[in-house]
Amino acid sequence: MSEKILKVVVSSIPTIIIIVCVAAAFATHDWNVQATVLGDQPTKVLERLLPGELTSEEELFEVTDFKLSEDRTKLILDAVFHSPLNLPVTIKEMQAEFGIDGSIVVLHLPSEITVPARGSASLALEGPLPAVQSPPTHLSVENLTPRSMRMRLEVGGIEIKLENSGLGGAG
Amino acid sequence: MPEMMKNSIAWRRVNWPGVIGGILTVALPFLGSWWLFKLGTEAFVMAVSPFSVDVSIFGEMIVVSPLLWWLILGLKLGVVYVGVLLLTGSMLPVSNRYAPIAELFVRFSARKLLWLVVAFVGVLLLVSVLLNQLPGVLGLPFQLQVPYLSGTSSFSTSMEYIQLTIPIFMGFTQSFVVAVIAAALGFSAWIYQKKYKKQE
Repeated sequence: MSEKILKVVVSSIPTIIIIVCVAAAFATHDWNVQATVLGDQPTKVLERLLPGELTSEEELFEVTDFKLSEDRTKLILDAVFHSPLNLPVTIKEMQAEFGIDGSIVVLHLPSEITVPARGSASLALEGPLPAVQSPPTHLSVENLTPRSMRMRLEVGGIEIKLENSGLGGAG
Repeated sequence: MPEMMKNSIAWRRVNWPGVIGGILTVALPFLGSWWLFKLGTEAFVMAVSPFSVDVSIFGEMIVVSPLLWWLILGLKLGVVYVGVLLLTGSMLPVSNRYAPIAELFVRFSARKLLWLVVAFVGVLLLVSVLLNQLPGVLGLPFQLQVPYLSGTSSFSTSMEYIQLTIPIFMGFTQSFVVAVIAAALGFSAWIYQKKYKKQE
């Protein structure tokens, strides 16, 4: 084989490879241009993972119990968080202010909690009673007036801060 | 003794940078991605090289484009072919008979990987510039500060009660270092051959 022919052969092989691959791409998709060129729609994946409409706050949180600690110095609020996301969510921080018998009690989550995808997790928010206040004698969820809530969530490394300071009035 | 000397002279003709560069070039398509782009830890991960584009959203892999997949396969085969040519061309000078073919092989293949690495970095740089400039050009209400090629930053936006903070990570992988070494060796092989030809 002369050097000239070899040169042409050597330099044309990469072009032939690319042409064959492009032809194979179309051939394996029935020569359908759209099916060959377009891949998965990222928005469809996101729609599957994240719901179109987030459920209301009442559906996200369900207060199950409200009690005083054994030494009657702390308020403990048991709640269930229902995740609407198809992804695990970590509640990094949570703080809620409640009005109770004219005073404000700040409850917070003692440690972070991971909620499984579309799952639920029980939360126990706790906070000290104001020093001047004597422990309430009658405790019920109706006594509580939510004032504000702050949450810091993490989903796949993305930090989401939710803050609602206009809950339920001044108490 | 004359036979041994003959062998020694023949082995000196081997283009060693080309041999090592050729082996690395052949291995390169199988070493994984060259560059990573992450939003969060796993919210959006893009692992890119000229031989693969892997995109996942919250851990779910998505097919970018079947055509792109096939083009990438073509590039993979092309680079393996270039590596084989460089390796063969670097070893063939041992035989006087194949010396002209060896020169042709090395001349064709030696700088291909270097152009590929330069083009890859150039495209990444262009994308980084576009991402940083785009919100301003389109009049979007936020500003993106994406690192150029490598680094970390974060993007924050807020709507009513919600504030989102998305950490951004970009970085080259060890495979890219191998690619740079292979490209440099390929270029050295080209220079080595030019010098060798002059000496002849």
